[in-house]
Amino acid sequence: MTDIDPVTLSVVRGRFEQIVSEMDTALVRSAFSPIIAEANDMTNGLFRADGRTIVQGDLGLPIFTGNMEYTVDAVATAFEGDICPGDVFITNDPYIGGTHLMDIKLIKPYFHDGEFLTFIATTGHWTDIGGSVPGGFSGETTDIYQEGVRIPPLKLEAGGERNDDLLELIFTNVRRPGDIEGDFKAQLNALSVGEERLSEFVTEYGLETVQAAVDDIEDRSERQMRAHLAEIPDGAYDYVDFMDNDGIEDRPLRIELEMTVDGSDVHMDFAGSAPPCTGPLNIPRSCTVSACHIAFKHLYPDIPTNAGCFEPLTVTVPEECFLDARPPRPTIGYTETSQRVLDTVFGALGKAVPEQVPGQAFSTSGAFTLSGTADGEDYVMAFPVAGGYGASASEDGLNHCTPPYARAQAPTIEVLETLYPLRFQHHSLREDSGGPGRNRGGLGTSYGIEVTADGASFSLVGDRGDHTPAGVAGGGNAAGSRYQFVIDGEDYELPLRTKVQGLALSSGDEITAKTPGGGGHGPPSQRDTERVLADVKRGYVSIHQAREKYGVAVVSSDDELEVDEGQTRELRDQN
Amino acid sequence: MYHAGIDIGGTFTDLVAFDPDKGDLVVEKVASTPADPSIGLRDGVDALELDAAGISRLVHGTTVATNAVLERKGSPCGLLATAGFADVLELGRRDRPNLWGLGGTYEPLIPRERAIGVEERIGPDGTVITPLDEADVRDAAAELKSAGAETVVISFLHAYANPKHERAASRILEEVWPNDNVVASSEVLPEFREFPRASTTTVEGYTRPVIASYLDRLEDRLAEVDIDREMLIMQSNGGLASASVTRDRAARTLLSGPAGGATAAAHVAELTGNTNVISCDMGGTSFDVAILPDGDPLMTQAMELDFQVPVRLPMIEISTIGAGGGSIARVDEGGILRTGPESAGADPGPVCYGKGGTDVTITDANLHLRRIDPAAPIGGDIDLDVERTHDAIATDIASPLDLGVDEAARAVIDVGVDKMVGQLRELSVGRGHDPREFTIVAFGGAGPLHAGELLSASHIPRAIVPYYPGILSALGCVIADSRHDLVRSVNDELEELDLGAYHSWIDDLEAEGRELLAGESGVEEVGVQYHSDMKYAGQSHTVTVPLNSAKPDRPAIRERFRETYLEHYSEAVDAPIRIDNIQVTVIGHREPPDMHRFVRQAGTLSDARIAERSVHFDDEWRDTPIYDRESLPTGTRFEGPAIIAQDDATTVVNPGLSCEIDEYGNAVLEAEA
Repeated sequence: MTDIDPVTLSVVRGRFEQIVSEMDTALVRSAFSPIIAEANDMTNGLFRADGRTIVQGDLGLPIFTGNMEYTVDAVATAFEGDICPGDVFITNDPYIGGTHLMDIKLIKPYFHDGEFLTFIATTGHWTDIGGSVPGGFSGETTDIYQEGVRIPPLKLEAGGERNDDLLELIFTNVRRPGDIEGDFKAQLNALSVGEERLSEFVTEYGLETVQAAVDDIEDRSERQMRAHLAEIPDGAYDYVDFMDNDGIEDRPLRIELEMTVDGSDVHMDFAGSAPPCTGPLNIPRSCTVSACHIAFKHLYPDIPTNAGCFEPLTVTVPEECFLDARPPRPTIGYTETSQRVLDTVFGALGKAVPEQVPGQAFSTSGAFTLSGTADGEDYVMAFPVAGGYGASASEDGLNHCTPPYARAQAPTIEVLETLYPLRFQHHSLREDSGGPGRNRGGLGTSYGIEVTADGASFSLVGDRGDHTPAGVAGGGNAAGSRYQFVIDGEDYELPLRTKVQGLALSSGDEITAKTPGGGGHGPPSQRDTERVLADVKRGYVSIHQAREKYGVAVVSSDDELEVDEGQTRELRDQN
Repeated sequence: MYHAGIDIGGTFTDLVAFDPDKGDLVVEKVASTPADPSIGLRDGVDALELDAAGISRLVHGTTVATNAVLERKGSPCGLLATAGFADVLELGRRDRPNLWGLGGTYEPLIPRERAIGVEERIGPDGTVITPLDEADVRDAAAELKSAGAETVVISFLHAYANPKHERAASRILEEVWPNDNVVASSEVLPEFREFPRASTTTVEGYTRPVIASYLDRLEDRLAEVDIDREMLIMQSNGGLASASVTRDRAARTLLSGPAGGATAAAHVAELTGNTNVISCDMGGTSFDVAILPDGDPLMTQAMELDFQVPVRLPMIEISTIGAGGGSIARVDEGGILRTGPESAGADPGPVCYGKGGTDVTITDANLHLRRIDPAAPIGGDIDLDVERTHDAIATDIASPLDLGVDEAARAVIDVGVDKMVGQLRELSVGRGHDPREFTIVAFGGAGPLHAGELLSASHIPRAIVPYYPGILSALGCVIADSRHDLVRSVNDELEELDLGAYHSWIDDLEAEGRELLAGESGVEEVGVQYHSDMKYAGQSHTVTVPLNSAKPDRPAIRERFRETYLEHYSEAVDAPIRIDNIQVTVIGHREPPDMHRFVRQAGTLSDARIAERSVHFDDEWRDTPIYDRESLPTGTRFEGPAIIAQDDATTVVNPGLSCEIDEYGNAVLEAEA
């Protein structure tokens, strides 16, 4: 603990938050790919020399925070003794702290009067990075080489001189290089903004004060996190969840967690989880750790996010596990596996403190790409789905949300129809998809899309088809993912339910994606009958589900829906 | 003949009446009547004690529309959407309320029971894919009617590209509802992106009947005091529109209240020769900031009225944070002091009010440091409880932070001020403006109390506290010009654009704007501005590019875009340029009041000195002179520490600052060189 006065501390913390928030704005507003510009699939942050997070912007993806810590650390280690003012590093290597190849990190050291202070870093999801499938999201890759160009930590700028040869090599190997270059420049815009603002700030407050404040702020976050953790009863809590399959072999991948709470320390051990898989569902160890961190941060949102929050949390991943991907295992489906790790942590916490933990969220990105050529130009559309959140002890879950590990929004239908040869048939909430409970899980979504050009190719990395989001404290499971197609007038479903690569579609073919809701909280038989009736009137819950899951008989009388009290009593007494 | 400006706030209704010929200015403050604000307005107008026939113009800023949305008390609406897409509001933009934490709730303005899809489909290029099924529309109308919808919002996919189906559906619905209660997205916001368009249209439908019945009641109330003038209403864009125009443009009044303040600040800036101004309105719960580079308020095209309730209409960019006199200070579990955003409001209010409030607020800290006079609080006859305030600060702030009570009170103000400075910085430095070239105009009940603090912390060299800081928003109503913003979707690449069509759209919009102006009294001169939202092809977001004429040629448009883009971003891009829309703003200028008339005093500084008390600054208690605002003579200059007292505000001149009273009665605070 330093002797910085509390006012300066508040000021320093606020200023850091503002700097990264301006970086977020610059990147999103000048980006080209809708996945950054409309969906915010990016993040910006400031990191210490060893990679520890000082601050992260609040528009981007939470999962990137932890991953950036590992990446910055790897860059700092690789270039030890050779990090100079005016340098910019680039990498997308998943194994050193990453996600998948499409997430490009630019890292710039910030020096004040010649002294190193912090790394300014930005991650952006480029729509394409080469590889076997336009847009990257394939459910069937079997090694990293099929997933695109892997860039180890490299100096992109040395002392302010840009290595244009390196850039040209990268842009030559990606689809739609013009857009990709635009996204790259948008990331540079973010770094410039970060650097300018930091410079003003440090000049004003002095390097020493800022450095001391960083230490202090981190200590305080750790203390806050420990105060929360100490409230969890000591003990061991286990939970098992599954991925549907790895996209290649049709068998579930097990995630097993034993969580030990000891005072204000929490240890998470993934022993018993599945070995590395052939398909793209492996995740690097850093990703596993980040997902664990995110779960706790969602539970205790009030703590300022920096490395201090995560100090009390330790994670062990066994050797030879799909939660510790090594080269050349494919990782493009991190979007699914990292979310299941998060679910598993929520599941274990649900046993420890059920009143504080929501049911599981839909937790699938269900990212699909549709690509081909229309009007003589290549197109690549990447689209992540939304779904429901778990109910909590106090509220129903939110409908149609961004995944918990992300904050990506969806491009609007009018934007997509303007850019790509497709026509939406519907975009609506999915009835009966929320997990039943005293508080109901949020609803998933149903998307109906008609392809309007021949020669289209569809790839998908989804999950939660077979193993659906669970409720907590007696709450029921939500509906799982379902993908349906009409190809050449015939109904078709994917052999592996939620994963495919290169499914050929033609004009007039149809895609229907139904996403999971969130798990319920508390026994559904205890849900207030009027709330069940309101859900039926609103079309959230069918009359059938009201009866079967909630034990509430909703009947129609004079064109008005109402609860039949007698029948309901009988139904609920049977339970 | 008087021009009267009226601003209705949560606590007070402020009135200003001005006679340009006689130069007479009358000011009045009466209690607001939130249940029916028109009563407060009538009482206020009555209290002005002017002959009804002597009032030639009434201008009004109102928060009726905003409150209807925030409190979910608008008109029960139905939504008519393209079949398959009736969930457009339910789905929102798939966001959660906060980055961290998965809880929260979201209630769309129209419940799902009253959202109905009808068969029709238009493509992105405006082609009809499925014709409108009129029988579907009739069935939907019957269903919505029986479900109690008083207003119907129509939002069909791609209606911005072809409004044919929305118009046809409107005609059918107008057989069931009055015309004004049928609102189509292609009229309100003919721009692509279905969710913000549907949301904006819904806000219009949701607030329109509220505004209409409010205006009806106002007319009745004013008739009670024999006034039958038509009202002009302040819009979110800082310009006025006649009440009759406002009736079907209700969503354009969302920022009606704060826009008045920013408009008055612009005028103060112009008079005093300070071209770059930041307007800071600090009341009980919030701190509203607008930036006016070159004297004109920065405009924005969009705001988030509530979680997942975006509104896309041109408005003054007013950035609001929860930092007001009533903002609550707390020490968190990590031992860090936070001030706001929660507010103790008017009830229970700060600890010192003794109305049951137990949370320490910024007002309590100001009282403890005696910047506020315990014997003469703003807002009248309450006894401020000094001891209780001391104890609360000692227990809740000083003890956990291990500070003395005086230091703790200082810290509460410092942390609050720092949040405000953060806001100022985001709007100034954050947009590439140098704060050293700006002047603050501080007003509202709590603005003058903190203006000096803002200067020291923000590198802004000067703050102006207007003569009537408590009623500046009402004054803005008297000063404002008429203004109408019109927009049309273009969606084409610059090099492929039919320039002739582009120019004729500009002409059409300008003609439409001029027509809206016709019939509004007092307009002496008409000005027109032209802008286009543009981007590199492939980008999603645009920059708003000012065009210097109604008939710009291609090279001029290209060059204006490049200049504007590089003002925002460091990296230019080699890509074609795209034009999203064309915006035309038609302004009807009015003669502003002569602000010299405010100044009445010619005495001496010592005459104005009415008391002295010990006030805490920095680390010590200092004997501080108290001056009476109305007695301070023009041209006088003195140094801090000093306090200027007046009925509706207290101005603090911190040590290290000088204060000069200028020819308009403004108190100008400056850091001493």
